Amino acid sequence: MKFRAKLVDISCIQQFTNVVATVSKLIKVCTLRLTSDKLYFILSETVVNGGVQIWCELPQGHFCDEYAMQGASTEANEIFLELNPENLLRALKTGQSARWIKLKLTNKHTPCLTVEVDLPTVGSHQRLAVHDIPITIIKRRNWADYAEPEMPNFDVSIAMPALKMLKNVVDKMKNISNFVVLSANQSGEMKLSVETDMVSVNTHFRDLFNPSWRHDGGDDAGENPRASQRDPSEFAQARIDIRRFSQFLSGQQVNPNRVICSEFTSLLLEYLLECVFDGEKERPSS
Amino acid sequence: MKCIVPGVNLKVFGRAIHSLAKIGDELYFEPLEQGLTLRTVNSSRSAYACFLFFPSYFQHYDDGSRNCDSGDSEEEGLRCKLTMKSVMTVFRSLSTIEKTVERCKITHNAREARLVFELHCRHGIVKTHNLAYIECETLQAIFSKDLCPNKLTAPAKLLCEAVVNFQTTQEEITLTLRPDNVSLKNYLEDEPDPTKVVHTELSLVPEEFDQYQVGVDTDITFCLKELRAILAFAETAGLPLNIHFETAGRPVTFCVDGDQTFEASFVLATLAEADQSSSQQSQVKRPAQTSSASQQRSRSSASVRDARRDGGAKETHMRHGPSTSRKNESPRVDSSQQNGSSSQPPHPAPAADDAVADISAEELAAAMEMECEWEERPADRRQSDGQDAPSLPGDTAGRGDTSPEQGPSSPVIPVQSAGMSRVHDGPRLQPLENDETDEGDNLDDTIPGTPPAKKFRSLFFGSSQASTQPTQPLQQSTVLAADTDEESS
Repeated sequence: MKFRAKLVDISCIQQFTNVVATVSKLIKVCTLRLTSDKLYFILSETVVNGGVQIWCELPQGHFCDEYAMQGASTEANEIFLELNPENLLRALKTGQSARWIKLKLTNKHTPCLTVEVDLPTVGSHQRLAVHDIPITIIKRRNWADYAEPEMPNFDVSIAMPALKMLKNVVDKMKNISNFVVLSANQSGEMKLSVETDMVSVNTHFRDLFNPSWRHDGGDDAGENPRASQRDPSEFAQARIDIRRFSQFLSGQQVNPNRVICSEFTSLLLEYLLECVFDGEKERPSS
Repeated sequence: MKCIVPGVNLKVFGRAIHSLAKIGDELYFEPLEQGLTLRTVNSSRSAYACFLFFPSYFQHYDDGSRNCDSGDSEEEGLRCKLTMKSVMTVFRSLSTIEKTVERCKITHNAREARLVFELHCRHGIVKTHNLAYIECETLQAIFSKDLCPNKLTAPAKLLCEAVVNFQTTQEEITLTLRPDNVSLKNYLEDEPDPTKVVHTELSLVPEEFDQYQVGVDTDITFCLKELRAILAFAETAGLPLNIHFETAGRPVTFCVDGDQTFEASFVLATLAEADQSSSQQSQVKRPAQTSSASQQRSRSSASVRDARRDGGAKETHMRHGPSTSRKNESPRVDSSQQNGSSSQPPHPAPAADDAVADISAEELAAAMEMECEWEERPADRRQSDGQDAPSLPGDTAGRGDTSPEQGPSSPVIPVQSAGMSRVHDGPRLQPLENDETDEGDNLDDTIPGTPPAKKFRSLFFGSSQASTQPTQPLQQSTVLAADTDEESS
């Protein structure tokens, strides 16, 4: 099992750091899956109330100048490992102006993801900071637990308003109730509501964009049947744990160019962050 | 005592106070002929910081010693400590101070027993802070940087950039010095499971340093928090930092002396190597060395007193009386505590307030000493000590006149015997302290990894602090009472 990657471009380093920051804001331990062409940050949490799933794909070619990996075996050329994204973030944060950052798997005192940072210096000297982040290798028989989650058929898909504003609203609502009901329809309207015995607060957003959702990146030309059959003014509702929602909103470090919230009439809500950098998908669902 | 800091220099002054505040809880303030000294020691006595601002730093500087001649002042040299909190209220916002304050006047109001900081701002606004203080003895750590085989000089920026790579929660770092590189590692032997935490290592090449002198290959481990405080000052002052050190267990000294008008020294204790601290050895060894250290210290305090008597006793002013008697005679007159301590009581004797200050310095020195080398070269040490801090009365006296420091044998001086008794009490209290390891660990978290030494030291500090804290106000009141008596009579 071998892995080595080198990030040279400063914007790639920063972007990668931001992705890790987003992931670390949401969870304490995540799974890093390495394949020959992609890196994945995965979390599959199944909790009754507001479990979060994250599926984040990063094409290695976009971030890394050098990339070499050799998986557990030739037929399963992948590596699954578990790490604390916070540790990785701290290590990467020291390299925000680095000449290059190398990531590699090492077996020092324990299996480690080693982050080597070549820090900038005035002269031609090399100043190298090495961070050894302890990891756990996930055995092959458990790999099935980290399969890509299925996309359900949605009732409504809508592009969210600016996350900062949304976060302000949600943070105020946090004081009122533990749950927020998010409703949206296919004609670009969205509303956030909290309710208690004493008060009921609704925040309406209008003129939002309803993307047409296609399965598997557009291979299937047909639109989501459930969404298309609906009355465009009919609201679909979802109830979300407000703290998790706020956490998700505040954790976004990547400046997504579009946040798509897709709803299902049951208590399921999906987000897709389509980021400036194509191919990076993140989809926590609650 | 009166000094005026001009606006342009006030920033450095404020930074110095901020830096000291990050290390200790009390600011030892002492105007001397050579300049104004500001010192502090951290709660576990493992770090000591000393700033000396030369008279040229000030727009006006008067240490107050001349006033003794005129007879209208009761200060024969102010020595006091203030709580860091109160001083920080004066210098809280450095950016505001920098923008608005034109000069800062520091005076001593003896009548009210207040130290007065007047900030003269633009538009004729004057902010006055009257700070209460406690009189105390000089705080002085004994260290010798000039004998150290290893010297590094580096721009503060380099070290700052190196230190930011470590997590903010990291407590200690290990500096490994080799002829061809220096590396900094986070110290993790303290962790419950070292395999579960991130290991960080940073290597620097000698070319990055202004001066790079390796006498012996060394690994030293010291506190990161204090280093950060030092760097915060050195970086904003834009001055290089000199690092002097020997081997593990011996103190490391950081000096900022690139400026003509002030200098700063910081002494940090380093962890003893594991083999050195094999419990029995260190337990037996430590008392011996601490007592020798305190002897050393007591000699210097003896010389302090000599110097004072030379300077002040000729004019024996009414006000001067109490202070000398407090130092020298009170143990005989005032039977309460110092008597007890001078006769080496079975319990850790609560020492006089001034003795406490003295002892804290001893402790610092003692804490930093792992080997019993004090007596082997006392002359060198005194001398180098003097060079390190030329401002200190003890040192100047010691330099000018070596006989008093060799002369008086230790038990003569009550202050010192108080220190001695405490030192001797250390081992006796040990079993008790072992039961209270938790508390001890809290008190002194700077020496993990060497459990026996740690225990011993935390005991040492623990007991001293236990006796220090409750007795201080009491001591103070005794002294004050004596003063008023004499005044009214």
